[in-house]
Amino acid sequence: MAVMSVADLHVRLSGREILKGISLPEMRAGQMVGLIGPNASGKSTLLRAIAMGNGTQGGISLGGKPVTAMKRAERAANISLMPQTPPLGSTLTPFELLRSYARATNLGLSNAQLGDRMGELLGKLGLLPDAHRKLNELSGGKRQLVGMCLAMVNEPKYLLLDEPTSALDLRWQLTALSVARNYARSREAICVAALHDINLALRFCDLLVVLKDGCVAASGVPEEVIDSALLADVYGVSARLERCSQGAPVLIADAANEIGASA
Amino acid sequence: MSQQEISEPGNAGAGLFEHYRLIAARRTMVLICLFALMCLAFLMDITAGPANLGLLDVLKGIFSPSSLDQRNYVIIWSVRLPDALIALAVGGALSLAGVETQTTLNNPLASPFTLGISAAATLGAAFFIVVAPNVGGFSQTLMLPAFAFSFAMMAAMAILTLSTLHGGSSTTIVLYGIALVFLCEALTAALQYVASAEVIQQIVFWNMGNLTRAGWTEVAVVSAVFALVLPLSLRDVWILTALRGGEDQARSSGLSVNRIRLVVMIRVAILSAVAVCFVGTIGFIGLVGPHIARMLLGEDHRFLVPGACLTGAALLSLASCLSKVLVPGAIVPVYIITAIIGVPVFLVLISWRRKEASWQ
Ligand SMILES: Nc1ncnc2c1ncn2[C@@H]1O[C@H](COP(=O)(O)OP(=O)(O)O)[C@@H](O)[C@H]1O
Ligand SMILES: [Mg+2]
Repeated sequence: MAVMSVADLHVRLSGREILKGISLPEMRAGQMVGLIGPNASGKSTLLRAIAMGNGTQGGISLGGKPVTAMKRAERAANISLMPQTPPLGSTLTPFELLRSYARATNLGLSNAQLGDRMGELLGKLGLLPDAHRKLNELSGGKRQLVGMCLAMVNEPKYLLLDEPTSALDLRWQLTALSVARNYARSREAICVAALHDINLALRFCDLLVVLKDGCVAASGVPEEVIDSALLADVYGVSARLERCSQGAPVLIADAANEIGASA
Repeated sequence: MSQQEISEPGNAGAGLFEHYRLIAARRTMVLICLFALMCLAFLMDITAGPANLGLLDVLKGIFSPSSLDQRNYVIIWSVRLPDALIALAVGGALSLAGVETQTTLNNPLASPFTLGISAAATLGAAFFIVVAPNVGGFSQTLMLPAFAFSFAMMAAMAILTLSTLHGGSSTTIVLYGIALVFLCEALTAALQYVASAEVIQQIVFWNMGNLTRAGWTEVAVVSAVFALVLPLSLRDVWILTALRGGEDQARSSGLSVNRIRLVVMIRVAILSAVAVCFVGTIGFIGLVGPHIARMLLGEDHRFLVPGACLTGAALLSLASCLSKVLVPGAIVPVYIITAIIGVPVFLVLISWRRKEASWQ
């Protein structure tokens, strides 16, 4: 059963404390968790700490077991991270790369089973027409989607996505996040996604965590977390949360605040 | 998940593999062609040489040695065959080492030579040649390669230790290697500086790769090492392919990048140390063999790894053949030939398949 808890997590990298005692509400199976915060607030660091234990001294446990006590193979079988940078533009095709990932992680699937899984994944993310094209000929957005396939192919219980939509157009932003959310729902997995687009976060996430300078500024149900005061505090912008004609919350950012605006 | 949900993408999956089978069949054809090319090069290599023995004579001599007179027996069994076989083994070994280095260090310029392994072997050989008189008891044919090999292994271990101690990224490993090349070359130069002209010539001659000093022992050792290492490389083809998506990406999916880098470095050290300790520096093959294979076969290592072995073996075999026929009555060191034939082949291929040659 997927349960993730993060309590008083400190991460030091190169002698600098990057995450300064992060505690998150308990995340449960089927949940989609959004991680938002300004640049350099520690989103990627947090995701890497969960996936690889980089620079951590405990604080994270998955299914009740501290990640530091998990062997690499056990972690690999349960957690996948889609890093912020898409896969290299080599002359490999998405098919070859995806297949090598599936085989290198020892999934023990037959070719037919693997074919189904890959076909399903590539199909959902609109990559079937590009499956046999070279990665260095694909657009940045397509490559980002390939990166998402790589993270999902071993069907992890904990799926971590680092800015999965940063290079995508509107349609695929929506598709990628709904694929991730459906994945979490149908497999009883937990998906944590670092996002810059707060409107997407509002629409897709069950839980939001707002980071600022390596600390949690707020966390909880999206509509309760996001408000003008928080946005002014964390991002240094004047923004308001309005209701659209269908009643869903929409964020409208008006201006960057001059005073107290940090880099 | 419901049955219906699976069935449709299942068809897509079947289509995916269907299309891939065509690609795989084409690559298998390329591998077969490379193998045929290698055999052809081998046949040309055993036919070439100062003694006037045609292909048929040589083949007859191989299959029924008893029919040979003493002179031809020596030519075929002690000169032609071991020379031709060591060309295949060394070419394959260096190219295999090269492809694994390039992939794990994510650097198209990496080869056993950028890691300083070859420079260290030269230093070891030079060291032995200069202080040889003081090492009594053993024959030179045994001690020279032994020194070259142990220096090469020490170089490889030094790089491995440095990179594990400092948690080296792939770029730092390449930098350590290049630093080591300069260090070994400087030390070799220092040895040459104090040595007599005759000894210097011996060192220079050793350094220029030369297949003609190989006998059956050398053939057996290099082939055995190659035959032991190749299956291990083949077992890692999936993760090697996965590494081409980027190191960060691979780590994020929990692939053991550190382990594969360590085992590859050990394999590369053994392969190239064994290869160069008997025949000296044959640069180029370890760099170019893999690139040619990559342009012809793509980067799926299930095809690339065997392909690189074949291109390396074929190239060195061809070079060995040319080294015997280019200047009548003389054998040009194969070291010179590999670059002279390798560079044009390489340039033509790069312009022909520019996209496959690119590296990001
Ligand atoms: N390996 C590292 N060594 C030192 N500092 C780092 C390292 N990685 C990230 N940082 C620092 O940690 C902070 C948070 O970075 P990151 O997690 O990438 O932010 P985000 O993903 O939220 O933009 C930044 O100030 C960055 O400079
Ligand atoms: Mg980031």
